[in-house]
Amino acid sequence: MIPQVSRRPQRSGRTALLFAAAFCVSAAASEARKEAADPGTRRLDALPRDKHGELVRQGHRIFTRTPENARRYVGNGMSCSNCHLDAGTRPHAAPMWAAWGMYPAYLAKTDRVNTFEERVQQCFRFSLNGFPPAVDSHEVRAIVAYAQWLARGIPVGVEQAGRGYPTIARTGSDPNPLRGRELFARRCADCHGEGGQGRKENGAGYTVPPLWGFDSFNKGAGLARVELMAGFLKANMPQEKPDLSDQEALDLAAWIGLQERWPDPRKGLLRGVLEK
Amino acid sequence: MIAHVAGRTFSLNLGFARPAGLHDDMRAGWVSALVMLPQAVILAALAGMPPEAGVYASVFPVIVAALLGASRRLLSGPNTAVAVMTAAALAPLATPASTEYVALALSLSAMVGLLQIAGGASGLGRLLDAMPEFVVRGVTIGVGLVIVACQSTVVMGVLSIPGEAPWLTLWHAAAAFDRLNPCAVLAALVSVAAGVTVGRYRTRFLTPLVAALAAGTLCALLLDLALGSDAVNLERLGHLSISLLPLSLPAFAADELYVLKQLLVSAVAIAVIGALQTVIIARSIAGLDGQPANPGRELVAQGAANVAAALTSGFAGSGSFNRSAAHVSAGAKTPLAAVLSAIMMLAMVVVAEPVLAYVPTAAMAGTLLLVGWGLLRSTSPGRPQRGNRVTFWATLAVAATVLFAGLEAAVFWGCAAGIAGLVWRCATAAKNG
Repeated sequence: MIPQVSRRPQRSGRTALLFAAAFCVSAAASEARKEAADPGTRRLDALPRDKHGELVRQGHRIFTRTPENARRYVGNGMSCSNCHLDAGTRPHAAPMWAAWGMYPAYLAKTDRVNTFEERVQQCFRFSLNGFPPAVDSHEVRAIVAYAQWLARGIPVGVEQAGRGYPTIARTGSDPNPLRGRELFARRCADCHGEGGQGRKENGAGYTVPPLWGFDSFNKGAGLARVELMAGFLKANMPQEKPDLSDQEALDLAAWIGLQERWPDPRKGLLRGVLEK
Repeated sequence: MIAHVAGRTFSLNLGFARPAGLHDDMRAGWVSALVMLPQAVILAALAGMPPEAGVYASVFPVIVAALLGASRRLLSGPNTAVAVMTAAALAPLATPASTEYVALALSLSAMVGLLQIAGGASGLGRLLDAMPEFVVRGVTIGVGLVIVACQSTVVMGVLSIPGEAPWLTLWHAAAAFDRLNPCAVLAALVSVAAGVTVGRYRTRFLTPLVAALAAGTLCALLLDLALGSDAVNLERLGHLSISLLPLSLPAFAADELYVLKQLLVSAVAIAVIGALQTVIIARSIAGLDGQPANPGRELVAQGAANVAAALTSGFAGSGSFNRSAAHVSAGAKTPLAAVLSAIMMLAMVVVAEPVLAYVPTAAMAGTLLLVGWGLLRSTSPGRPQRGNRVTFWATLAVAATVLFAGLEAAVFWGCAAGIAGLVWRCATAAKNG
């Protein structure tokens, strides 16, 4: 941002004034840049204060601080925006605007065609390790309204660039969890903690999500799969400047995948017996 | 010791009994809290409200009604008929348990409270005594039928359509037979069976409702363990977020007067039904105590309790017959027992929250079937006797009106029929005499 400053100041007083004005302008511009970094918030503020606008705002609140705003259905400390980064707007971090137009879709996970609402329920069951809210519940309605609002202007049924998490091409060598452990201590532990426990702000929820343990996603979640986690890491971690190599992402994902977490809700003691 | 001193101060200030009664009141408070806990959650589900609202409605309004009422042992709070009426009034206007729905429920509760205060203060409460017997019985049977009909889809584990008439729910349940979730049916059946079994061997602490909920939850947990919660796919109550001072304000939006007008019609009916139940219970307890009942003051107290419910995120309620009966038989002596039971229940909910989260809605539906069946049985008209044949059919007609046309219509047409009958008898008497 180049401030508009007079080239040949005639009086020092006027120069000082102009510099002050220029400083104000550039300060305002940097504020605006900070705002622009979170375009979602700015666009949310522009929404009218009617019933639809309120539902979208509630969806945003639930999305970004799920344990607080959808306490009933959450079984761990995660929020939607822990995996769908930037409140569901960042490309290659499963953005909502790319997902909305692709449902109903066949999902191999359930072996049937699922609606967007049912996909949201699955997130609650697996990634949030909780109870799925009913498809007509307030929480699901708010999240759907928010996702639909993010997807406005984007063609329905057309695969968008940046949808879901990227897949990593074969690197030629197997993922090595031991190298992953080393890498974790060096690159991830500063934010996510030595034990992957995340970071909590006093009283409030997690500011950095836990990667394993009781407050993290369970074994049925998508990110519990090594290749999906590797894709997420490659595209998005470390958050300021993603710079992991393919092999590093795979190694890290293998290490994280080895850790303890809640069991897969699809598996029961008698499951194998009954299916045979 | 502190409780002892507190009891003495209270007895000085509010005219409670001597501190020696405090022990009885504490014990009765525990029993009532235990009876109230499952009902708070279940009745909230019946009213279409979030479970937290049921908890709040069983705490603050109960305290207000106990302190202001004339009867020393009447227990107020959420009530089956009032909960059914609340759902019937609000479901066409908003999705149950949504923010709009809760806001409307607060407005409705405030209206009901103000109407009851006005009725009690102006002596209109006396008119309640003239309510024909067959209307009261018919409404009770009708409410039982509505509960059974409404829970049929929940027992099957399929979604119901919010705002539809209860008899249509039965039709939808039959149509959704191929989509039913066998695990939900099993959990509901287990809770019904447990409730019936415990009802046979009545114990003080394990009431049928507690047993039904606990057995249903246990059954669901075992199913989860055996088959995996994804395959079992039961809807759960979920984690409660209880606030110790849940202040709220009923909103009256000027641009939505048409909604308020519709609410007012329902509020009148709810105020009448709620007042009727409160007065009937107060009269039967006063009979036990050998004191004259004071319906006017009871009505004002219940109205104040409903206003309190509107200010503390609850919903409308009335005197509760089954809880008052348990309260009295547990040895409650003074209003302090009701206050203690409310506070203890709040503490129990806070402590038991992680367990309550796993209660499946199917188990709550099974428990509600028990409640509905209890209502039907308590007022079974029996075989029609020769002289009472008209009353018998009138009762059934009122019950059918509740199921097919709603409670308001049933109360209105029932009273109209009662008045018409009165006029008819007077006219016949005048002609003969």
